[in-house]
Amino acid sequence: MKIQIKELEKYYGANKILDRINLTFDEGIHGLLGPNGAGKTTLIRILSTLLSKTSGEIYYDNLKVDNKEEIRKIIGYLPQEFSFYPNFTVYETLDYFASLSNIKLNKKEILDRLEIVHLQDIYKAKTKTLSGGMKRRLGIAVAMVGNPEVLIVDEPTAGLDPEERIRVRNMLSDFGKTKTVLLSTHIAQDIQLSCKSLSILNKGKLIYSGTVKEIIKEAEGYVWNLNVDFGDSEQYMDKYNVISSITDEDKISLRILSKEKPSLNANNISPTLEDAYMKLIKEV
Amino acid sequence: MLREIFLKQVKEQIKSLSILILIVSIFLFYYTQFIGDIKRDGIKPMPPRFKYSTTDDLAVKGVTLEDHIEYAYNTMKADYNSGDTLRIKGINMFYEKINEEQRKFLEEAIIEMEDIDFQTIDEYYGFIDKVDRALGGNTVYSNENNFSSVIGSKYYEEDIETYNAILKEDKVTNAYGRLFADYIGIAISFFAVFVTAFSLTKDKRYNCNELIYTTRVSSYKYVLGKYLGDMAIISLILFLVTGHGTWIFHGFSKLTGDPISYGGFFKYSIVWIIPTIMFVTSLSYVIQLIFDNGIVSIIVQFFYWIYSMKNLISQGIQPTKYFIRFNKIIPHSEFQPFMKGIYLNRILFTIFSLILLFLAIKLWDRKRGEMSSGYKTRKKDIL
Repeated sequence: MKIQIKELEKYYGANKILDRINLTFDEGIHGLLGPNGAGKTTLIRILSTLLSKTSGEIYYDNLKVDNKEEIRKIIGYLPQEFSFYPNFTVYETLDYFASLSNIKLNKKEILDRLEIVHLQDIYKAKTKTLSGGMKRRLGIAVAMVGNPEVLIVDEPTAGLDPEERIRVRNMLSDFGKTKTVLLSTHIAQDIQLSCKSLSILNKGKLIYSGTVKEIIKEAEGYVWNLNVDFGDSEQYMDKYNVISSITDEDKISLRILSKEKPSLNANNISPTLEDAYMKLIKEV
Repeated sequence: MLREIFLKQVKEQIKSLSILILIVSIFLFYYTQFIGDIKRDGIKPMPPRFKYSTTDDLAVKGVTLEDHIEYAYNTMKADYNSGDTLRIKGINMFYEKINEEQRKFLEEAIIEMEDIDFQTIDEYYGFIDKVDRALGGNTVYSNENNFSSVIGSKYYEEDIETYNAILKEDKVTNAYGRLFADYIGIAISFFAVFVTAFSLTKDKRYNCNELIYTTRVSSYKYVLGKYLGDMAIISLILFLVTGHGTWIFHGFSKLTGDPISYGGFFKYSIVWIIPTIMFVTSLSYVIQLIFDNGIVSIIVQFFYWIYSMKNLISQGIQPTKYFIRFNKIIPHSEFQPFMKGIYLNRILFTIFSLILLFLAIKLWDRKRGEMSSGYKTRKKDIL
C-alpha cells in the first residue's frame, strides 16, 4: 500500500510541530528517524488516526486519512509506550484485541499467532508478569492481529536488550516483505539493519527522504578516525563533532564528523547510517 | 464484537475490588434497612393478646417503662391462659404452642412479677429476658423485639384493614416492592458510581488506550459494550438482592397462607431501579470522559445523591431527582396518586440516560481521534 503525505502541517496552538511534510513510501520497511522532539510521534499519531492534522493531505492509496474509520481497518499500530490489562493473560489479551479488530480466531489460531512472537509457551501468563521485551512482542502480535496492510510502530526496540532487539527487528522484517511498515525510532542501527528507505525529521521538518544506501553515500568522506593522546582529545572534542571516543590503553580513538581532514594522522573511514544521520542533524 | 467487549467488561468487573465493595454495601444496606424495618414493624398484624389502651397517642411511639411492665404482665397472663405465645422469626410473626414446663415457668413469673417493684429499666429487661429465654427465645419478650410491634396492636383494626387492602390490591410484595425499591435505589445510586467511574479511563491508566483507539472497533460498540457490561453486573447484584427479598416473602406466604406476587419485587427493581443504574452509568461515563478522571465523577454524583435524597417524592413530577424515594407501605389505591409523577420521572431519566450514553459515545469517538487528556489538554510528551 502506498502512503502519500502532502504538505502536512500540525500546530498546537501557535507552535508548529510539523512543517510542510511531503513524503511517499510503500511496501517494505520505511524508517523514520529524528532526535527527540523532532515530531516523529506526532506524525505517527496523525497517520494512526490518533491526532488530526492542521492542514495538508495524507492518502493510504486513495483513502484519505480523515476517513478514520476506514483507515483503522487497514492499519496496525504499536505505540512507544503501552501496556495491557494486567489481569488478562497473554492469550486473553490477543483474543480481546482480535475481537476489537473484528477478527474471530480460534484457540489454535491464537496460539499460532503467539508462536510467531515466541510467546506460545507463556500464553497463560498474566500480562503484568511479562518482561519489557515480552510485552513488546505481544504488542507486535496485537498490532498485527487484524492482518493490517500497514503497520506503524513507534520506537519498538526502546529499552530492549540486544537479543530482544534482534527478535523484534526480524519480526518487522518478515512482516515488511509483503506489507508496508513505518518504523519510527531514534536508534539508527535499527533502521540500517531493517529498512530499505528512511526519512529524517528534525524540528518538525523533513530533512531527508531516500534510501539508506544513498544517505550513507552522502556521508562518504566526512567520517574520520583519529588516535590521540589523552591530553589532546579535548581540543578535538571542542572543535569537531565527535561521534564516539574509545579508550585504548594510553590512546583515545576518536570518530570525527568533519568536512575537512581534522589532522594529518586522521584516516577517512566508511560511514554508518548513524554517521550520516549525525551529518544531517549537525549540518556538517 | 459487542458481545466480546460486553463479556470482557463483565469478567474484568467481577475480578475488581469495586464489585466486592458494591455487593457487601448493597447487602448490608438491604439487611440493616429493608429487612430491619420489616423485622421491627412486621408484615401481617397479629390479633392483640391484650388490648393496649391509652389516651395518649404518642405513647405508642414513646412507650414508658410502666407501659411495658403493664403490657408484659398482661401478655404473660394471656399467654398462660391460651397456652401459646407470639414468636417472631425473621420477618414473620406467629403464635406457637408452649409446653407444660414453659407454662409452669410463666405461672411462676407472673406471681413473681406481682411482687417486684422495678426501679430501673435494666432490672425490667433482665427479668423479661429470662421469660424470653424460658419460652425458647425470639418471643415478644425479647429485648430485641421489645413489644414495639405488639404495642402497635393498639391500631390492630386499622392495621389489619390496611394489610388486607395490600393483600388484595398488591399481593403483599408489590407494596413491599416499592419500599424495597426505595431502599435499594438509595444504595445502588450511591455505590454503583464506584463501579462505573473508571470503566473508560482505566484504558488510559493501564496504558492500552492507544492500542484500543486504533483498532477497528466502532466507538459505539466499544462504549456500548462496556456500558452493557457495567449494567449487567450491577443489575445482577440488584437481582440477587431482589431474589432474596422474594424468597423471604415466599417464606412468609408459606407460613400465613396469604398469596404473594412473585414478580412484585422484580417489577419495581426493573421499573424503578434500572433507570437509576442506567443514569448513574451514563453520567459516570460522560464525566470521566470530559475530565479524564473517575474521581470527579464520584464527587459530582455524591453531591447529586445528597440532593436527590432530600425530599420524599410528592404527587408532583420531580424530574431532577435520579432515584425514587417512597418509603411507605400503602395499598395500591393509595399509591395511585403518586404513580404519574414517579413513572414520568423514570421515563425522563431513561431518556436522559440514553442521551448521556450517546454523548459518551461521541466523546469517546472524539477522544480516540484527537488524543487529549480530558478537560485540560496536556501538551507535554506530544512530540
